[in-house]
Amino acid sequence: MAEGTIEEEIRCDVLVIGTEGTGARAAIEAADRGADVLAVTKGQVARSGATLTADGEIDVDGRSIRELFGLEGSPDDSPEQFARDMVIGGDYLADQRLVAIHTEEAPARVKELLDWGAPLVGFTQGPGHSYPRGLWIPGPKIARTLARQVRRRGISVLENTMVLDLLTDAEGVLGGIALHLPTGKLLLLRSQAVILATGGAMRTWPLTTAPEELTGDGLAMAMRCGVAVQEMEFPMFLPYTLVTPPALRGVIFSYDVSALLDVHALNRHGERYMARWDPQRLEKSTRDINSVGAAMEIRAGRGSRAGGTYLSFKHLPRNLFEFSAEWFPGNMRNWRAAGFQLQDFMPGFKDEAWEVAPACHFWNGGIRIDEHCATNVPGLFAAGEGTAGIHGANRLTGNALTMTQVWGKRAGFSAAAFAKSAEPREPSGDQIQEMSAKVLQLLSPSSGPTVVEVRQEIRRIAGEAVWIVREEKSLLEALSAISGLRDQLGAQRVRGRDLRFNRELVEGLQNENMLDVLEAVARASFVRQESRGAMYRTDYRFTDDDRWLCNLIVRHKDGQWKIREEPVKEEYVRLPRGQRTYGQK
Amino acid sequence: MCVSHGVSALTVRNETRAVVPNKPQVITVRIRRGSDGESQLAEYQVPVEAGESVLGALQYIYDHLDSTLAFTCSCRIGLCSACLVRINGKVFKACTALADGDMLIEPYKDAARIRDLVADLPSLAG
Repeated sequence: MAEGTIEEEIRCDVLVIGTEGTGARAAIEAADRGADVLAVTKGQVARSGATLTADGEIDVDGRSIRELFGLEGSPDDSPEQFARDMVIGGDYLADQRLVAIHTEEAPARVKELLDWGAPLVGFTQGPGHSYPRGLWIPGPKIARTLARQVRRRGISVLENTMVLDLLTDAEGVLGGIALHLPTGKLLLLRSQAVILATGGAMRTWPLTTAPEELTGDGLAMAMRCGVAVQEMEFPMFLPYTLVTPPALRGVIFSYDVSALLDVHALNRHGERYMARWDPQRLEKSTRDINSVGAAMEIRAGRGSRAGGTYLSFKHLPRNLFEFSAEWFPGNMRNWRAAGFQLQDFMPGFKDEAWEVAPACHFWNGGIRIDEHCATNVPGLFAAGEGTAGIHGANRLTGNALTMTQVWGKRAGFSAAAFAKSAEPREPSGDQIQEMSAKVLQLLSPSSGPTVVEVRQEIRRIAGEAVWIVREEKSLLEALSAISGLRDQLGAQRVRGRDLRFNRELVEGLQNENMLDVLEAVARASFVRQESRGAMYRTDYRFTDDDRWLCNLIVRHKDGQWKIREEPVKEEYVRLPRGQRTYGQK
Repeated sequence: MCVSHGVSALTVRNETRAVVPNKPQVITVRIRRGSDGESQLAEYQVPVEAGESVLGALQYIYDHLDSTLAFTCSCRIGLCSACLVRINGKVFKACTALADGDMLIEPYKDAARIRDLVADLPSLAG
């Protein structure tokens, strides 16, 4: 890198950031609409990102499943019923108009995937769904199916490239500045429209199911150019994620463990603690309630040695174990956990309870979009995980993959149309210099904390004070710790001077993104004085529909945080009134 | 480190690795490092708990011993192949390979090496 100057410039009509479920679908649509598309990914296509790791449920209403796919979907189900379940599952914070679009367009989008060769391997019903809706298409198959379509269209793809910031002027977005990891070169990517398909910021938490890339890059760079975000207080946690052995930390036992099998969630005294939270359904309660139940046991000192709770099969007679393949249709089939042979890593796995804890799994909220995936910055579109309005305060199982296809296509369509009507504009040299400067700053000598220390500190704050259970005191302490860390971001120490795949450099840039997102989460959590969906406030334990049936719209501009409340609009699901016990809908 | 703390110590400390009753075993990890056809072996002593992966050992080296080490990974659960390396001469995904003894780690293919353990994997995007 020659003094932080741009070493290469690439022009296109539509820049798509992220290349997996959402990004690939957006790129395909934009290309089909005649746009010259450049798709950029921090990792490699079909070898990174969250889609690949999806166990495979993709939701479509039962009637469409019956009519389009010839499976035993219920004729009594409908896109309208699916939408109602989503709004209720999201604890009434979702945008009912966006949800209706989602369920209406889901069948055609999933059919497209199958027409493109993705295999349908099963059909299931997750908690919160009134009917079976989960079509089982393994995540890696979806990623490769879409990659094939990208390849077939000759769409330009730039792998191992991290976009650092978006270029904007008074009229809107102009592209972005990126770091090419194999060479360490800074690239100027110029476009008339940009689509963010970068997912959530789950790696901000110490225990997460998400792959490496999910550090909130898109959310943070959007916030830095004035984009509004909402439902930031609702990162989603999965209750039954392994905390030990070390190699399996963050591996999900099963998305819907309780729906598939009678397991017992125990504290260290052997109590089935879910009786305190959901006496009828116990472990068959929804994932948010299971997570809160587990977190409260752990916080009360009744957890496991490794900081989790226990999940036990001990009550099942051993000769039932031969049917385990039928228990877990997904990654856990035949006692493999994703790519792990459990026998090698957990020799006692059939006899001992597993140590599990709530792990950050998904981003329920994010960038505020309209039905065309447009943000408040002209030319900037966003789709998929990391956008708000679809899931409200909580997501139903299987609906993340549906989101990638429905909204990826919508974003591609809108961005292509926008690019066609816009003229290319010159980005400001000052802005380019300013964005390049943070890379140079990381490479200059410093006596500050190392990037590893900063990352560990961010995760410590997230794991302790901004976990699924929160309260005012710890949120205030978190905000103060975040502020202290922010002062040190510029002084982070990078030891390596070789720019090729410089892990420290990437982490230093990611630390800024994770910190920005964590601050938004902490601030929104502080404002919302109730418990709802994926957030439990130990100091406000009730769900208060009279006071908090609103979206918190967060903006961070010129160092100032602004949070405003916007009441949720009632469309086809009647909004509740009064106060409720957390978890009762 | 000199970052400000101030968050009260709550019960959960997820960042710390699992507390297991058995003491970590210290293994010798040799890594073939370098680029542009030049390489040399670097040696590290790494404490590993029972049930740790080779990727976990690499992460330990990067976090605690030598942050200049270049390696890649993504899913950490054996699905993506981004962490493909050669361990004692055989190619494995580092995330699902057990770190249970001394080992030599090299790029999955010498000819494809970019730097240290990062090697060019053919793109699936064409």
